[in-house]
Amino acid sequence: LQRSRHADLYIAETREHLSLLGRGILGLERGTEGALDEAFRAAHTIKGLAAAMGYQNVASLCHTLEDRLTDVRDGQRAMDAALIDELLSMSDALGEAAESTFRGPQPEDAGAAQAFQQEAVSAPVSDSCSAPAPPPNATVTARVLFEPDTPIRAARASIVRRNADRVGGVVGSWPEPDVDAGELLLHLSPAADLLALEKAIRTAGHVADVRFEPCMTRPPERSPGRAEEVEAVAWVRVPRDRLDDLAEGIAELSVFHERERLANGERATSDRAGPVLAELQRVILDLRMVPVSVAFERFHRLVRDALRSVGKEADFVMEGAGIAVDQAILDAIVDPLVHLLRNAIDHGLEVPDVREASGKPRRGKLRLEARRERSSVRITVADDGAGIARDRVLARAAQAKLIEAGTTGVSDEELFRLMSQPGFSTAESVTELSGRGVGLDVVVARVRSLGGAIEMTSTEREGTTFTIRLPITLSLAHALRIRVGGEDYAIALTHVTEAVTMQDQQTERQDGRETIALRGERIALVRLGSVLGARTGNETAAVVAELGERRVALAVDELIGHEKIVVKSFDAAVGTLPLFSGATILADGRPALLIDPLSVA
Amino acid sequence: MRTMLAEIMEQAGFEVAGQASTGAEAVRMYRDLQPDLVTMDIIMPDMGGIDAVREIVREYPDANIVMCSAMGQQSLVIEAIQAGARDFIVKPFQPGRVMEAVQRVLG
Repeated sequence: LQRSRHADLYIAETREHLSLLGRGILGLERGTEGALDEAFRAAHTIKGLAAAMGYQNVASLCHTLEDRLTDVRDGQRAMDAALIDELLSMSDALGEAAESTFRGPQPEDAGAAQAFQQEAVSAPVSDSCSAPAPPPNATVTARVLFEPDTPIRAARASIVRRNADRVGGVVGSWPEPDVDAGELLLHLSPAADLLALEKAIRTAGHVADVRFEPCMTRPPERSPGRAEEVEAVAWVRVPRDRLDDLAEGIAELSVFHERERLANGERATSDRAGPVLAELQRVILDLRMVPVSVAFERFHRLVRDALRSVGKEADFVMEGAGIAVDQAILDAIVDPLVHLLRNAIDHGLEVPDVREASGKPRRGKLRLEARRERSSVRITVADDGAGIARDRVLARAAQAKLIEAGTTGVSDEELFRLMSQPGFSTAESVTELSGRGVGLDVVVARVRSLGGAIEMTSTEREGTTFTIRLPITLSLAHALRIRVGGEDYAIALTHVTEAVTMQDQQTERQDGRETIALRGERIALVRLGSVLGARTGNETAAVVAELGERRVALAVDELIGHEKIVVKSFDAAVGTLPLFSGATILADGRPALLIDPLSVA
Repeated sequence: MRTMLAEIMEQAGFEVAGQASTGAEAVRMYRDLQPDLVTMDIIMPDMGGIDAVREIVREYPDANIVMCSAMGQQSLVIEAIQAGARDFIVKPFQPGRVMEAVQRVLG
């Protein structure tokens, strides 16, 4: 079990470097400067990590890959698509080897494996494996694994033990000499010569593998000197759910605090906890923030493979990879982005010949951009492909009785609304990439569940752009508290640009919709009362929300104020309540529904 | 059993210097012949195989003795190893396995 903690660290770091390796290899293909060095560094690091854990299979795979890279560097191998394919499949094999080595020779039944993993998370300090703790002077444990058909394994283990004793440095072992535990652990002192030991152990015969693992129960005795200590505390990896618990706790604390503060009214000037809480929030938010590149890195490979599988060509550009967002949001948005990218490749971009025939460059453009916008992040997926075939979408929608047959001239908004109906698909054939019934509706639902919004613009023959706006963090949101029909609701500030009073507004009907004028521009006005089934006519203010080209003003009875809220996920069935995106507890302790302003636009 | 083992060894190019049928005989014969390698049954008449190992290793610490055992003699094999046997082979003997053990010990 001690091994598993270390293995967790090992696999986490290996995965990081595998992703760098992939980036390096893809960089090679594009001729990016420094890509070869990057691939080299990554392969070398993966090898080092594996060697430190005694995972020889992974280390030797790395070695082979390094050899191939050396050939490239020395000009022995020409850079071509075949070589890139080979390097990528080697890197895949490396990943698989690392993952399976990480899982180790596991018990056959998955239940035990799962329990094993759960233990690793829930009881990281206590040693619940049957092996007793290593002696205090041990720093490394040699785990000796035997060949599967080893006869009288306990006796073979005795030979291993004796051979190791002759080399020296063994300060403890497990199990007892006459017990067969399937493997043998030898606890080694810092003075042990690991190379000589491994050799001696292997000469005992029937030894399948020797793995040297750091003893975890007691920290190795450190040589005096501060530098090492600083090194040791520089990084701590913590299971994410712990961090989430902490973040949620702090968020709730600050909501309680706000409630107290409101209750105490004027005495709020002596508020000492406020600044501390604010600082805590900033720190915890910081802890959860990761650059989007952590997730986006894999898209290079995905796009490349997807393009090849449909015989299309495109330059894939990622911008804003350094923008930081809450890791929980990043994790949740990866699938929708994969879907949009695949859609763009499968349905958006044309094959080179078609592009050429319509006067476009043979290579298409596919762009993924992240950009910070106020307290939100905006992610754009854009292609310069054929654009949405409106006729086909409308025909399909008419067929599904979503619109009347013969409808023409719909806006992008309306088009997108039709396309994101559950199960809606115009793909004529099911391809490897998309069109398997997981549609835009799932993307929309996911984005909305995160408190975000998505919109689409598409021009035939020029391409399609999806714009997603997400809050930077899930745990704490800034919201506007409003009242409609005597009930209080919250609107997340993510999409709100401003609030205006209704008194000065002259409403005007345009294309059958009520509009107000905002700095010379007319924007649609939606009376929330009518959406919620309450009386209308006594609205005093309107909240203006915006995403990309879409803007809407929501008329409300009363604007109560700005509050910090903790958003709770909302389990309503997808599509039943398009207006509400979540629930929250307001500062005065009352529950309230969170309104998604763009859902009524 | 002993003849079969002798055949395997001879086929592999070893010369069989001598064959003993009891533990005490094995110890006496070792003093006379001082062979490069001894294969020894764990169970033998009079002095058992393990005592014979102990006796030989006391006088000749570098003696290369490979125990011949049956499955299920785990604790006896471990005792023999602790007494100084270098390795062991398990009945029924497979020529490949026997030679592996011999090479490990002489290697």
